[in-house]
Amino acid sequence: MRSSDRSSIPQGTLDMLILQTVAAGGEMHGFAIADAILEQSGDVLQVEEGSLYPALQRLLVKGFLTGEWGKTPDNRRARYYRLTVPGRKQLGVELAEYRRVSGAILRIIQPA
Amino acid sequence: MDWFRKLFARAKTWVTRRDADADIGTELQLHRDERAAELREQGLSLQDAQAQARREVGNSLHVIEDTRAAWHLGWIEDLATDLRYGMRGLLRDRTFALTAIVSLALGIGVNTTIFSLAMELLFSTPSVRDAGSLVAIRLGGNSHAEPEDLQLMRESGLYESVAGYREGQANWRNGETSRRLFTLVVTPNYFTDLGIPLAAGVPPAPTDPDGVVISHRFWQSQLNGDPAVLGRPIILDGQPKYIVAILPERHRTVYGFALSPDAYVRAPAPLAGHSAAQLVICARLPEGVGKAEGWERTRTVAARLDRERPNRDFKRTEGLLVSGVTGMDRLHEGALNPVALFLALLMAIVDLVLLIACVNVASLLLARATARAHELAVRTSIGASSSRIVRQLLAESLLLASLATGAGIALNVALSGVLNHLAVPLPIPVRLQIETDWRLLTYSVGLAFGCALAAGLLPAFQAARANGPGALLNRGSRQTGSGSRLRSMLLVGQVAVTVVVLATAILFARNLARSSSLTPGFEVSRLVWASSRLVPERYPSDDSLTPLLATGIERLRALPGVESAALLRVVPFNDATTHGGEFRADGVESRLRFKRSYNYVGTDFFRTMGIPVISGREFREGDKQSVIVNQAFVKRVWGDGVDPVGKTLRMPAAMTVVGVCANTKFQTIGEEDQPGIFEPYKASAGEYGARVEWMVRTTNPAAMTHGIEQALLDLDRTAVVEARPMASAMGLAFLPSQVGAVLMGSAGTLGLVLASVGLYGVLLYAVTRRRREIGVRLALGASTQDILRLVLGHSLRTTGIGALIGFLIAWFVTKPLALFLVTGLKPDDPLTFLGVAALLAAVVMAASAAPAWRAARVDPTEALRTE
Repeated sequence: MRSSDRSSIPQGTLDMLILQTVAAGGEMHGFAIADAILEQSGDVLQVEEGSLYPALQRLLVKGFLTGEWGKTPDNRRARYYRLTVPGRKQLGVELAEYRRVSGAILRIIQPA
Repeated sequence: MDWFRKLFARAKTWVTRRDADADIGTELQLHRDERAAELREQGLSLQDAQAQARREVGNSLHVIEDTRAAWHLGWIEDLATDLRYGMRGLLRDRTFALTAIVSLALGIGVNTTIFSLAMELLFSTPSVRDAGSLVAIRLGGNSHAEPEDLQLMRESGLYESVAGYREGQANWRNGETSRRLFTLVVTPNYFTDLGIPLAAGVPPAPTDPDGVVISHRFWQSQLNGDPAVLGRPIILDGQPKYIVAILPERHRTVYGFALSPDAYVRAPAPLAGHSAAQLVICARLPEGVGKAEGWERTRTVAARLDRERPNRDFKRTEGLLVSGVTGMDRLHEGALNPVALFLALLMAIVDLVLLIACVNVASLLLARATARAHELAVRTSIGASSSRIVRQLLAESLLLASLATGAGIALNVALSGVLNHLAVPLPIPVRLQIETDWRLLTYSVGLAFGCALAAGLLPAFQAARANGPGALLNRGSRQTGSGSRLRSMLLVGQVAVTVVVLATAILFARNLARSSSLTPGFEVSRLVWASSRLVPERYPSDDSLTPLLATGIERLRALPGVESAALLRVVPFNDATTHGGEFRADGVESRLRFKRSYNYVGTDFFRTMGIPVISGREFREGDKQSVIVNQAFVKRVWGDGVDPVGKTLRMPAAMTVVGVCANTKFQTIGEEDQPGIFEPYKASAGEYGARVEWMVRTTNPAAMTHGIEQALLDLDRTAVVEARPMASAMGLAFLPSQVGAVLMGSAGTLGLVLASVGLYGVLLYAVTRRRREIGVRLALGASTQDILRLVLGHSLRTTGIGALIGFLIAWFVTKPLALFLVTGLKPDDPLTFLGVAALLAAVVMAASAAPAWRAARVDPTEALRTE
């Protein structure tokens, strides 16, 4: 059962989260990425499958990820995603942008 | 390069798209299984875990579609599919597609043709160099001016050049026969200063009075397109001339109105005792001199002419007009002639028809789209993204509009071709060179596309909004509020516009009916009109004509089968002379001044024409200083009930009234009775003398023309003689009402047909939508009659509102039409509106009959079960 306190991914941050997750995990398939995001966010960020796979596809097309077909431990076909050099660069850009924006938001909601 | 890498990645996936779809499927399946395994660990049963995972992952088709969108080559690929699908859709709904395409094609095709015709007649650019710097000048408001005036204008140095021309005729001697040619008599500088392009040859040298330029048509039709025609002698009016140049096929004179003379000749030297023929002035303004400055200069020149060469009858500065010779510049102040007005009206009507066509297509598309709501819902639920559906409907609308536009343009080209080759029944040579007006075509096509797109997309957005399982269940059983309201509004608007168009069309049809029943006041069916054009040089004075006229009349009267014959100068409905000068009359104190038709007629004229002489007598041989007036003239001068025979008119020469004749028409059959005055015929070798008109009364005009021609030719073999039944020369009499009836009638019929098609479609659709409701009513005991009443009532209500609005508009809009109608027919005549109402009611009934019948036959159990 999903718990009701799980939230969906904020607009525009899904690509960054995927890139970050893949950057940390090396080679991962789709389900593992979603699982990792949920786990690392302390069970808060729930990636909908309907958004995850289109996003992965977008990142593939843009060349930020590569996809290689391989086998899972229990011998099933799965596509393993890996970060590319442009993908790492993109992650840097998105992280910087995110920090800038969230810092700004923080300053607004917690005026010093 | 970034974009290159992207493109490459896309291309790769595109090439292997079938694999790609399978790949995503595999990934989703894995995801689902992993989730199920996770849920199993949390303690769910295998079945529950799988069901839960499936629910969470959701509709995998949607995911696949969305994922696919990420690497789509996008619209190119989609467009191909969409067009293919759209074409299939149109082919499946052939009636719908055909109706929509034909509606739009007729709207576009007819619209553009009529507009192009108007442009050709009124606003075409003449074939000259830099038409923008040319102006037509009317001194004192007169169309023609004396050649001396032109010369003085030239010498003033205020214009770059001044050219002149006038319409003329010439006898062309071709072997044993002579033919009458229509000519343009021009000044020596006409071709060079106006800069008229020639197809072959050179313009006649100013010092050479004998060079003739011929039209392309004359060259082709009369000279067999002879390539060696340049330099060839041509005898015109007995004078040896020779051909120096041929005009291009597409030549438009500065005169405009599609006038197309056969030959261009130099003005002959005036006869002794006669002044030189007057000319239309066409001047070129120097570079940098605008229209306003052109006006100023012309005013200066006109004032000087008034001082130096004063004219008794008029002042050149009064009523002076300077107008352009191209485009809208032709319309100078006060020259809003009826032709322009009629064409403006026609264009408005045709535009309304286009509007009806567009509304038609819109309501057809709307009805169809709502009918397809179910199909769209199914497509959405099996994975089509809403943008995909919008794109697809868009493609279908585009396809429809493109097909309709193609058909419309083809129709336009065909119609223009027919009009260009149409022999126009006019006494002057007219050649239409209609070219498709691309501005209007663009406008029509834009309108068609706009309407198809708007009507096509609206339901797409509705469908996109109504996404989800609800749309699937809502299987056409409930009227979607906004859609049906919009359709009703469209229908009301369409009916209103149709009423306006119909009211105009019926008005013009009645006009034709009425004008056909009108008589011109003389017995057209018993008359042969013969016309001799004599070579002027053979008749140097008025008196030299007298023997020929006397012998001619004698021989005509002696012909077997001829009852009587008479000379006349102005043939009614083919020419007109009006006088407007001041005069005095016995028994009337004030000076009189009004426009009156003037004619010179020989003995026996009134008997020949069959015009009753009401009081007094006909002219007799030797009558001088006597006149016969018509009843309208008597009424105007002395009032009703006065017999003016014996009274004297001073105009200023004293003329005695010897007779009063009945009123006749002079120019068009529909005109109001004009005052008319007749003087005894006298020979005149001047402006008219070179042409002699004869009127012959006989029981069988068609059989007599040849004999009459021969008899007149025997008088002078160099003459051109043309005899024809008067009935065939009445073209101008009926032309306005015929043209009006044909054009407006066809526009009206088209509008009515289009509107009834639209009406039928919308009603049929409404009935289909209400099937369930009707089924319930029938099940609850409603009779067939009740259902019929329900359906017919609905359609009558909608059209009734539309008709009411239409009548209100039509009542105001048709007011200015009085100008085009024969006397006694008024635009707000209730009969016209009754006609419209009756026609409309019939169409509504006919259009509702099939839907109503279908509604009445609804099987309640069937209707309820299908839900």
